[in-house]
Amino acid sequence: MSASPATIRIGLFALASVLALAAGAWFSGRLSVRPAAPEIGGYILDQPREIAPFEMLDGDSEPFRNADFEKAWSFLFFGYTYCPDACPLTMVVFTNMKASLAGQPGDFPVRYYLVSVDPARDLPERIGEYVEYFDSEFRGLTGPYVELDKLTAAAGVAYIPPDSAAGDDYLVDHSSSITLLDPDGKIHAIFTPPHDADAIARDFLLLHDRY
Amino acid sequence: MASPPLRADPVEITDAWIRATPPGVETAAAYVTISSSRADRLGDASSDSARDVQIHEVTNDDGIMRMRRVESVNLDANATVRLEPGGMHLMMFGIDKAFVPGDEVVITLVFDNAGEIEHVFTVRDARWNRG
Repeated sequence: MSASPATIRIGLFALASVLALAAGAWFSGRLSVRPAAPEIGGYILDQPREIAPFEMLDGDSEPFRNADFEKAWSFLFFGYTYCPDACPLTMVVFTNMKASLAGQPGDFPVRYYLVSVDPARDLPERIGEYVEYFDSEFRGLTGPYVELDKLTAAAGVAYIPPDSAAGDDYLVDHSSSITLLDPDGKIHAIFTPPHDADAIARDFLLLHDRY
Repeated sequence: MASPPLRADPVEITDAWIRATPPGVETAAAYVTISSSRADRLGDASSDSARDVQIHEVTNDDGIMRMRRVESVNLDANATVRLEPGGMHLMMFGIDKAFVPGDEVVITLVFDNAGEIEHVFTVRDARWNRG
């Protein structure tokens, strides 16, 4: 898929989602009829949001669809393997979150995903090797822009794909948020930077207990 | 190519390291602390171990992570500049092999006044640092 260099791939739907999030945050503070949501370092969605039916590939080139997010809590970070500084730092945040949450009681496992915003270069094997370098249980997802955009739209994540004339060394700007999916496979909360692994782990336990 | 100056160099380079790379990755980030007794400017870098080395800065604007090339880094006299994770780094494109902990990689830093300085950067595993 080609795009002009200035195109920010945050669709109207995603933009509307962000506005709805902001409105929801405002509203829930004013007219709460449910138990008050805990304060977290980010946003909690009033109504968990479904992701449109998608099909990505995991690090073993196996299809990965909506149902594969179910029956687990999933933390998603949208990044790419050519990013040598910020993305490894976020993988280390995941490593530390996993350590913080180890041994915590829970009905569902907690999983960690790097979703590539650079599908042209991040083929399944590459993203698989990349995440496993940080933790053998971390998972990588990659797929065509049209499939990726279903995830980014639901998560309110923006990224800027390369100019079609870009050489091999292009960079991809992308949202730095961490997205939490609940065991229904729906977007449940969005953590905003700066990311502190222990704080996210504490916030997650609050959300987990309220689920 | 100019040789390194023979007299004591006003530029001091410390804490030079490269983040160890996951398998298959073609980029790496190098970090370094630079002090100079006189005003200078870091304008370029190169390495035989990478196709290209650029100075990059990571910023987080309104929740968007951006990595951008910066043309140069100004050094004030008697000041220290740190290229460190989450800030500036030397972006190495097209590395010749995976960098594993303990590897030593030579990077040449090019200063306006101090000229070219070759320095050995040590590869570190930075996967478990809790800051």
